[in-house]
Amino acid sequence: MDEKYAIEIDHVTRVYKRDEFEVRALDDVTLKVPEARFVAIMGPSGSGKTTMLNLIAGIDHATSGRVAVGGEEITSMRERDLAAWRARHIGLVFQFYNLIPVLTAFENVELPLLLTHLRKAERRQHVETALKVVGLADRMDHYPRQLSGGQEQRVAIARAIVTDPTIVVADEPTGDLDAKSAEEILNLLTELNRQFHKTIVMVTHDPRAERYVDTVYRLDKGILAGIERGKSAAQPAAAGASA
Amino acid sequence: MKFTMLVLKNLLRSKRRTFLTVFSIAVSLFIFSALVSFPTLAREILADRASSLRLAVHNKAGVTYSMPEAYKQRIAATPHVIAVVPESWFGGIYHEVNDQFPNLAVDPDQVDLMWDDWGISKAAFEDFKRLRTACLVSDGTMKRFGLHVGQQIQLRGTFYPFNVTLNIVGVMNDKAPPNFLFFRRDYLEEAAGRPGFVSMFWVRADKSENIPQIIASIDEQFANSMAETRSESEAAFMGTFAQGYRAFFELAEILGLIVVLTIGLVAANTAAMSIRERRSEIAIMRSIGFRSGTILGLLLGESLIIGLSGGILGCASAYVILKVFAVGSPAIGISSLRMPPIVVVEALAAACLIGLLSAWFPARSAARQNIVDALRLVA
Amino acid sequence: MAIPLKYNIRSLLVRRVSTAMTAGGIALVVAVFVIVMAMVAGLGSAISDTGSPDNVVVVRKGSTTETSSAVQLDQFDALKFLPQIKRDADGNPLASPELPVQVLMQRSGGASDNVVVRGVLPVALQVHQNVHLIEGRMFKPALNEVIVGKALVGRYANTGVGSTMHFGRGNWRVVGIFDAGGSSFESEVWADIHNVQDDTQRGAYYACARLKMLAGTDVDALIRRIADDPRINLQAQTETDYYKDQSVVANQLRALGMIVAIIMGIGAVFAAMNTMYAAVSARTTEIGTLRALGFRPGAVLGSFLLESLALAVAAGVLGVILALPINGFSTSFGNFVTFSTMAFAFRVTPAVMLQALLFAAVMGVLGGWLPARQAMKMQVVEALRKG
Repeated sequence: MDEKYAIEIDHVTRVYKRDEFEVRALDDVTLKVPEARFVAIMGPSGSGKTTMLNLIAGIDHATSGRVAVGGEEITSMRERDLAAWRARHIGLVFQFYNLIPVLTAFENVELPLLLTHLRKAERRQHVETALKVVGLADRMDHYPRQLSGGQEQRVAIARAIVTDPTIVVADEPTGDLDAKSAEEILNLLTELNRQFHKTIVMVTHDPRAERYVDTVYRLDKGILAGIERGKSAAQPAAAGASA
Repeated sequence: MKFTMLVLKNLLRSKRRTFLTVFSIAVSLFIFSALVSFPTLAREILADRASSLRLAVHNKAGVTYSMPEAYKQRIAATPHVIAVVPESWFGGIYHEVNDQFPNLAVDPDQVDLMWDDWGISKAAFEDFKRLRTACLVSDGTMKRFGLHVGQQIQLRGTFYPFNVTLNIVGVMNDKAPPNFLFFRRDYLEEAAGRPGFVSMFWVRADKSENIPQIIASIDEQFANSMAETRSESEAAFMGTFAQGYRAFFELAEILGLIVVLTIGLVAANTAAMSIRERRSEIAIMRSIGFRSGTILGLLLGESLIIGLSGGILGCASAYVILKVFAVGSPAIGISSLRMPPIVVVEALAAACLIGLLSAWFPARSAARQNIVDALRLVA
Repeated sequence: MAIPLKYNIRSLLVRRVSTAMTAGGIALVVAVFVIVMAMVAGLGSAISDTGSPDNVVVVRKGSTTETSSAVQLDQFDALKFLPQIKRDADGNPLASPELPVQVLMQRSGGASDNVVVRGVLPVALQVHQNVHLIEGRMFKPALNEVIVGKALVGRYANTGVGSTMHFGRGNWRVVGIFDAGGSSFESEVWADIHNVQDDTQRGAYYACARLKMLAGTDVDALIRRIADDPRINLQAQTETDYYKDQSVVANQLRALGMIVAIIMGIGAVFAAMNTMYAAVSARTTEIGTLRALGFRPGAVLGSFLLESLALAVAAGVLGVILALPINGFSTSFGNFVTFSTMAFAFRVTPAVMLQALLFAAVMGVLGGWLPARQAMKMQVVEALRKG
């Protein structure tokens, strides 16, 4: 069966220069992620997992190879088009939440919607829904500094899903959280995947993550070192991990 | 000065910011020095004249009123008076209306006694006394119109209904105003039909202590006459011309002050910014063992260098520009504006003050902060 | 598609100290601009409001100003019956012979200034339409009575109605105060022309004549006639042209003022640039996030530019308010062209205020441009890495 893939990485290499040194962040990596999966990219620091994530999210360009997300090839897109594409298709969650400190929770979640043509009333609706999903509807008017770490990350997740993106991309979402908050976030992400069928790609070195995801891609020194089944309870039928 | 290295490295850390700050300080001090030069220079020139032994005697009513030339003998007879030169204003035009210069007719016989500090050569004096159509011209006017000694020029009359044709016999410089022209009053009188009136008498005193006495005697002599006189020292007389620019001088000084204030704000802002950013570094240095005082010194030193660089740059530019453009103001008799040394001192002092004060508060608090608290920021 | 303005406004407010100091700097520069332009506006209107386009000033050929001119009585007699000159209801030509002289007048504070005393005949009030008596009455002939321009009242000794002024060679009784629409006439004392002739002892002559032309007169033809007619043989120009030539000082001051303001503006631009660079640097993560979310590079540029502009314009408004008190402040200066003292008032006109705000806006745009470009050009990955 030819499943539709959410993400296709095809012989991708990413080389960049740091002063005079050349760094091979990714070296001829190939992998495909089917739709509606919750997957993790793991590996030691320097393994290239953040680079991989950046390529998927369209905020970095491969040196060679092909990257396609949601069926669209983004490797050759111009920066302007890429920005618009990102706004529509990608939801981003960062390790340090990256909320704009001078905007309230509501306004932060609203940000991606400003890139659409929705009217104010419609935007409000989407924002309220997103905040409800993450369980923070009552903190709409709070500023980031008035929220705990876990709450900030939830707002960030709300922001990531408010445009109903194709893929949610998370870079170490639990990296800065205590155990309890980390669990809450991982549960939330699982919810999003189960209930709303969102494809979620998470870069992490939190070993707990393995219990929540469907597949784990291991990277080491820029190479795909292995693909394992995650230990999550419900697994979608059919193979779908290897190329 | 083992810390110079540290200070310099810090300054070069953000070259752009250092450059921008130095430049904005330079720009503002440029304006300050240029602006403040005007009133300061005017005051200096007046103070310079204060030592002159000359007195101006004019009609009490004003310079447009005249006095009989016969007053000359009576003034000459006043005690302590060495010389008297009657002067009449002609007001002719040499070239165009816009570049007029003062031209006056004087009696030749005591000109050398009266204006011995105007750099007029003995030969020129002799020629002036000998030749009826002679004239003496200040070097500013000579340069401006490319004139030379021996040349014949014509002045077109404005108030007087005739022109005068003159021969240049000498140049006036040294303490002379840069734009004057003297010719002979007997020439003027004859052309005007011998009216017998003069605009002013210049009087030379024997000693400066006697000036007040001379003033009193002369004015008393002519009190209640058809043409009452008002005598004053040359300095006071020149002062009345500068008076007209009073408003502008005050404005220039106020603007100069505002400019310095503005720079202060700019510099303070930048200093605060740069120090704030380095809080954690400073904490590390202190934990290594640097004393508060040393840190304060380093930060202030940095700010001082920035301020001084800006000051020197701004001041030097103003100095050069003023020299190159030879900006002048004929009314006050300044041919080319220059920057009095005191202005340079003021500008550099302002620069240093700005440097020190702007960094003072942020530097003090950064140097004194609790090491433990600050180290937390390092993580 | 644009980053919301509230983001910029709040970001400015969060960096309170930095924003305040930069705004302060810009405000001061704008205040200086307003002061200088108000001075120029005041000077300009004092000089130019003096002239009327339907009046002609006649002086001796070759004279530059009326104070260094001499017109003989017979020349004036030939002049005043020219057909182009307007007549009053009784058929008398509106031709005003005048003799302005500079006299030393004592100020209230004690020092003396050269002030213009203009010898005129009553017809002068009809020729100079902007001159109106606001107190007292016109002087009667040959009694050494004078009317005083309102700019002199209070400034100089004994200028109230009924007081006796001492200038020239005698005493003069003030019988009226006049208003002249802010023009330089307001800094003058008007007296009977024969009294002035007697006082200066220069004989019976006039310095100049002011003529009021009939509507639709061919001015150039009139000027030529005045010059070519052998009985007249004088130099004429419209009053507006005459005073334009006199405003050499005002023009020099305007040029000087603009130079000062522009140079200070450059300094302020550097200051704004510094602040904006620091802001961009401190908000690198935010910029990266916004770009990652999908805001285009152009949106980031526009946002920071707008922030700089908002800061500058707000500071500009503050600067205008700071400088506003100088409006109406009157002082005097020695107009060395006429060799007399002229009063003028600083005028903060709507045009001046608008120019000041525009000036502030330009500073904001120039100061914000390079930093905004840097923000725009940031690589998203680099920007996020700093977080």
